[in-house]
Amino acid sequence: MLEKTTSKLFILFIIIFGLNMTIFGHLTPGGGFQGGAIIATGVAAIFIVLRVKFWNEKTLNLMKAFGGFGIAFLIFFGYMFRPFYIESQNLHKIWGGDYLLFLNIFCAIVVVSSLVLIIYSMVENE
Amino acid sequence: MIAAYSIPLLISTCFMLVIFKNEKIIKTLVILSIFISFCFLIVSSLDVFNYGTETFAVSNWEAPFGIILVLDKFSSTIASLILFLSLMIAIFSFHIVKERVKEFSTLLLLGVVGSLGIVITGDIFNMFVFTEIMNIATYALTAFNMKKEGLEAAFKYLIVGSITATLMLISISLLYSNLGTLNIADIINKINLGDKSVNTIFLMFLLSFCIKIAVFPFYIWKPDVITGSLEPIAAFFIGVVTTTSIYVIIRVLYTILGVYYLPWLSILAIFSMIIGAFLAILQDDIKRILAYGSISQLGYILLAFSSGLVFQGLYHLVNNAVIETLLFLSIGTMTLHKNKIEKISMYGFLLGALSLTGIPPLGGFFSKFFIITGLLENNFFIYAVVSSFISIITLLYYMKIYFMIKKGEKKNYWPIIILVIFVLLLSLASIWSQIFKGIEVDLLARNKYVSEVLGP
Amino acid sequence: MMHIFAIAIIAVGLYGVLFKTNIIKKVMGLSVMTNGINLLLIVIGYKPDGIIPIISTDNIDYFLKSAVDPIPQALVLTSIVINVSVSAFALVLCYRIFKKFNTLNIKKISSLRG
Repeated sequence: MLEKTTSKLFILFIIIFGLNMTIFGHLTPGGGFQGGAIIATGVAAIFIVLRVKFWNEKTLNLMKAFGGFGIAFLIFFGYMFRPFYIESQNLHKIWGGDYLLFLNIFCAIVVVSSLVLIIYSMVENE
Repeated sequence: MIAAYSIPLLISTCFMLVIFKNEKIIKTLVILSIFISFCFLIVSSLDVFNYGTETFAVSNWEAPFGIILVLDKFSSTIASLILFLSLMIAIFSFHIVKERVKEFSTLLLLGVVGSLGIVITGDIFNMFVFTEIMNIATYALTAFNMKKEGLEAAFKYLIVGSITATLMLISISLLYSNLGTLNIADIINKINLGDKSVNTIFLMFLLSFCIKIAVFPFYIWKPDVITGSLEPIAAFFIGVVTTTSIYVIIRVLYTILGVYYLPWLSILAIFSMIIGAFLAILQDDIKRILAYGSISQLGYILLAFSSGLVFQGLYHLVNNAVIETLLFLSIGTMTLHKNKIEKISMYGFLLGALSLTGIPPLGGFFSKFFIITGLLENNFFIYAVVSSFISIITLLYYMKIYFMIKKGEKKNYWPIIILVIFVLLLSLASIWSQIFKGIEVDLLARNKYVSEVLGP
Repeated sequence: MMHIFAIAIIAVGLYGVLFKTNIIKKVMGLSVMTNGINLLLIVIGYKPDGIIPIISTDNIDYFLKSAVDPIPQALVLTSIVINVSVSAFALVLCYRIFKKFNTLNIKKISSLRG
């Protein structure tokens, strides 16, 4: 009972903190993998404490495929998508890196879906 | 060359991401991807043998600051051997693995990518990353049949493998703190062999790989792991994983350190030869006898390399890898035909066993003969006498297996037929010793490696 | 000084992996050992009074003299990812072993003999 009320307070905070860590990955310590792990902790907390399956297993597989193909696309064709070149006024803002922002976001999507799939398979029978 | 190892990686990630319904597509994609990268690698190695070493800078970052992939004669031979053996294992394993084919092919392709990456790269931390990729794939493959022996074997291998990987990472970090660079050619430039701390660091690095190939004091985990896994996976272990670990040891000893005589490694090799042979006679289980036998053959290879006999050791390495794969795959037909081995693989088993003990005119006779005469020329009399005595005992335990198995009916398994033909081709000793002598000249020239990678 | 602390953490983790008989305690020891090796890697690139290695001023000489080394930080990122995957796989393997053998003691999990 106590865990349900306290977790409703801070799960939103955990997810926002994880998003902050992925988006500013080129300026502060963090990046795709670390932010993805933090968001996965929040989603796993929703599943274990509140007994709600936020994402289905089929949805998670599709997210993993989307993230993976996004990274592969950026590796081969990312050089064409460089309108956000580094101007001196953009140096400490979100568009500071060239396409590091998109790499971080796709990496976080892949990591979240993989870790949540692992936790779903370990906790069976509700 | 870069296509050779990006293709299996891409296909295995496709398997992980996309949902395939038809099993035939998965099987043909796996075999096709390994075959295409094998063809690319054969073309690149013919270029290397004619024109000299090839290098490739990843993402155009130049020599000491980025990751360089180096193909010289030694790496291209070992890489072609690895891809050929894994192609045979992949074709054969689809007869045995019937369910969960998608997961099996993902793991097998990751193992192939990992072992290929170790052989091609020219950067020490990249070697660590690919070692870990190959390790994780083999941890999961050992536990694949989900029986009691498989799970226990996988857990033991996981603990041992993680300890060796941690040791490797400690030595890499201390090496970076001492020298300031991670590129192998740059390390050869900056190293100063009289320094005691550098010697200790490389001793730790060699120790972690000696645990991984299971020489004398560290061999206890290996027979459990080989008994508990499926037969194609045991063949992958001894054919591919052990060969890449020996490649790393030779690369560190001959190219980086420039050391050709290591007395303590020859003593460990002699003991592992003796203990492997004597323990193999006492066992009752077929796969356990073969596992102890492989520990004994490994002793021959390490004895040759730590006494300065390079081309003899290379010949025995190739012999050992191909013949042990043939032995495990022919034992593997026993699960398909209910305790009777199929007719052609029975003859293949006999041929491989006779070749490894050293019966003329097969290939194993020539490689052991060259090793023993090389030891006699360098005045290691005791080692030569012990090696010839142990090869008599080798015959004992292979004949023990041969009398335990029964003959079944005939069916054509293509990988076993191709491997038997290759074993017969390995007995043309004059051609193979010419090729390996060419590789030996390349291995003993350290400065040539540096000048070809870093530029003049 | 910090190098000795990092190696002490690795030693504690190694003790846990080798000498404890519960397999989950072994996996916990493995996790402690990998944390120790990551700490050792970061301490190697340390400079006293250092600044973060991201170009934020125009004075290149001051930046080059006092920035902390960024290469070990890249190595640690790779190492953390690898160790998380190995720990996740080890925990799933422990779960499967418990379902088959009904015990978590490594001395009773021995069906391979010889």
